[in-house]
Amino acid sequence: MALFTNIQSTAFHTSASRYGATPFGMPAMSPTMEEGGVVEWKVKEGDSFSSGDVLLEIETDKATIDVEAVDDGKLAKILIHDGAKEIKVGTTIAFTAEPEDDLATLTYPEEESAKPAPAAAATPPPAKKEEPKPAKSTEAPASSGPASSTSSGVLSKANPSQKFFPSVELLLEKNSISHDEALQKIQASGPNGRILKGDVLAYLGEIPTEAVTSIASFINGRTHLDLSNIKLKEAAPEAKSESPKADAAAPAAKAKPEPVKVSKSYTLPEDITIKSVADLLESAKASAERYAYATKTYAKSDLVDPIFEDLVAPSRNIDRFKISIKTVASEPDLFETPEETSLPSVVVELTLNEKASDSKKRAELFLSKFGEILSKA
Amino acid sequence: MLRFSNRRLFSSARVLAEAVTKKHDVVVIGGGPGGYVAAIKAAQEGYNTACIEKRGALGGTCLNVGCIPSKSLLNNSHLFHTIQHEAKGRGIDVAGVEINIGNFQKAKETAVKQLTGGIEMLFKKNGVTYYKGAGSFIDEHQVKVDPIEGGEELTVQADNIIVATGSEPSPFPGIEVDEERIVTSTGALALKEIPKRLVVIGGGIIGLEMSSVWSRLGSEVTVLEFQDAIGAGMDGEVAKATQKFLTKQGLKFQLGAKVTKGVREGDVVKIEYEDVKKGTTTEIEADVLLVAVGRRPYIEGLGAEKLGLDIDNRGRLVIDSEFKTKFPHIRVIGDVTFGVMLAHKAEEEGIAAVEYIKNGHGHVNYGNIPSVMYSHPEVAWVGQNEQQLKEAGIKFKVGKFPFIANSRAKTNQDTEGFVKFLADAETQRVLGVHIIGPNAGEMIAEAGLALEYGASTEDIARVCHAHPTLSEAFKEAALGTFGKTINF
Repeated sequence: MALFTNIQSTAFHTSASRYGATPFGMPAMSPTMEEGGVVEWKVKEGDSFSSGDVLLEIETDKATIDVEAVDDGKLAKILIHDGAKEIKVGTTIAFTAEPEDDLATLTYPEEESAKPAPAAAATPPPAKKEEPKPAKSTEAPASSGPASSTSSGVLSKANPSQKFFPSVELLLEKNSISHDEALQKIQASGPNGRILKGDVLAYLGEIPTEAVTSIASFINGRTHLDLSNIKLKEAAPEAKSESPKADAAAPAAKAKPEPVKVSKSYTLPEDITIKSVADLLESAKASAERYAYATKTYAKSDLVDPIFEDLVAPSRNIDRFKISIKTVASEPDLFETPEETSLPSVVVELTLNEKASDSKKRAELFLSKFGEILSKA
Repeated sequence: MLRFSNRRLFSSARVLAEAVTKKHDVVVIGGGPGGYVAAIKAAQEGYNTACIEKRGALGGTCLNVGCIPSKSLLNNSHLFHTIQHEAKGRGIDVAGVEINIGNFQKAKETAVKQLTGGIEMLFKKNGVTYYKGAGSFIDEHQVKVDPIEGGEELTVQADNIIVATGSEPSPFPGIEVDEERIVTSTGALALKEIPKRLVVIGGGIIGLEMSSVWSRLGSEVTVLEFQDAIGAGMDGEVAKATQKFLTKQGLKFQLGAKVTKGVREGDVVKIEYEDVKKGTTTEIEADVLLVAVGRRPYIEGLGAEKLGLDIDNRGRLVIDSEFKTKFPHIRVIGDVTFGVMLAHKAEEEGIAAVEYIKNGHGHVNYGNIPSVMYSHPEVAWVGQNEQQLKEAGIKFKVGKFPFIANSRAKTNQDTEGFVKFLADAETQRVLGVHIIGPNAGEMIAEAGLALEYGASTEDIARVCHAHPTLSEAFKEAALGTFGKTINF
């Protein structure tokens, strides 16, 4: 998980932003995660953030993970503060707003701000239970967000222009309820305000309303494409194969906004403790960095003149890359066989300095040395 | 004379400059079921639309090397099998039934050709410009077209771009495909002779359909599946029934089999697999080995990385709920992005993507996308299966009706299978429908309609279904979730 992208929250921006603050739910960092803690908010209330900024650090039973913003925006209000633990996935932990929104006049969804935690707790069981499934899991944070946290999310006023289902027609007749009365009084859980058999049964008190709303939110939760927990591909192998083409095209193409990044993930030794992880990473980083800058990057060949190479090479004092190291708990992948155990892994991302021609080579040296040190630890 | 030639030089240079850049409102990269549908829809909405396709024929994997050719082989091999094995019992004496593999393949090619040509006609009719070439991003608004049939390269400029580049068969690590003896679905559709022994890695829909075709024509087929059930995504009970019926037809199944080797030695392929539970290793030989372990997104040559589009760890282009990439005017649909890899899902997305461009909203109900396997009996399902509902903690009721109790199935002497409804225990709202049996693929449409409208099983049971038809089994199964079936 090189980069966690809370796509779900982006999706909400488009629909909800125009009317007020957007609830930001506790993200699910893995398909099995049900709750987690807020370690620290990196952005203060009222501050703006842009896409890619780390919003907060959360902890799961496996690791501490940075949550990054996908969109630009503002952090309007924090509901769950630093140090809070056992926050259910999907619970609204903050409200965000669009960059241009005025926080003073921003409106907040009522039910959400009133009781943020119960909102998720009251989510019908199906939504939560969906979690364990990697394929379809992710509707949970979405549906337990603003839309379906209460029954009013799935029940709507009956559409007056509907033709009743045969089951509905029969029940109405049996109980002497007129069409008009039904349209006015019965809350509809079907698509487009359609009254379903269950809605009438609930109206008549034969089944609890909860039975209708829970199944409706279960079904509604599955109508969308699952776009949460997207794990981006690690760029290392691609960068290698694509680089010659990319370099050639660079002058011709318009200035690219994206800095070039090289990243790689490593698995940590099994028996390592939390403390020594930090020490190990620090020392590995230092020696890999020394190695990367000290090693000569040109090939040994009769055609290569070391003095000439040194003259044309960029100054040794220029930073070739910026280093970012993140520890992530690895999660079971669909392609992994069950017996392969998941170890915590380290993702190293190097943002290349494009001004120095040897940035990429030195970055690769860094990555290979870093891996070598880790594997020896 | 001199002046004249000079002028000609100038004018031809101008023509060249004009030919290089073409402007469109919408450009679709990929002419498969997602792409061509999106292109036609965009043109119908009044956009100046172009579609770039490098295969040389429209229709993508589906029409050229997927759904369509396989259905030709499946239908015709089924006819052959029926005549050979059942004609007698139906009172038809036929002598000298033989398969002519050349004509058998020709029938398939004719169908494919007519259908792909049909799309080209539709493009003309709707005014979609068709570029036969490989499209690759120059920048976020310009796509280079490298023509496959020679000619000038050209640049296409567009306000909106829809990427629909589809998928390709996933390779199996360590096994080298030559499309002759070791084949993917593409090669399995085009075999020039009937292999004596066919081994199939992967018991999913593609693997089982191809197994059915060649088994009916006389191949001895062994299916190796890593999971402990076949038919990826099927309801557990249906998967078991499928395996039972296919075993009866002569297919051999090896579940929990981890393939460790697959090498061609001359005209023979040697395969080694490990029984995951027992830990034993078995070696088998085949004349043809089919690798059918799924499909993966295809973006070769598109220049997606260069442009900076996000790609996830399974190779899918990352989108938001409106199919938008990080460049809001570049949308991605179909197999190359998230969701099930099915032609009809891509088509829905193609329409929705254009609607987003036009009106800002579109609609695909991902909870209501049917799956069909065209074996015999056919298997079709839509909505949730039993495993999924149990996992989600939903209380549900099951209604089942076997085709053996259906009058039409009985008279057709085609009675294998059943219809199975899963409905919410309290509201009877339909949650999923699973059919194994004759004509299941056609029958599943009714279930899709029910799901879309939020119908309860009673609503289906109270709709008049014609007699005698197979669809009566559908009605009775619905009835079975809340009452007693009449005919069983």
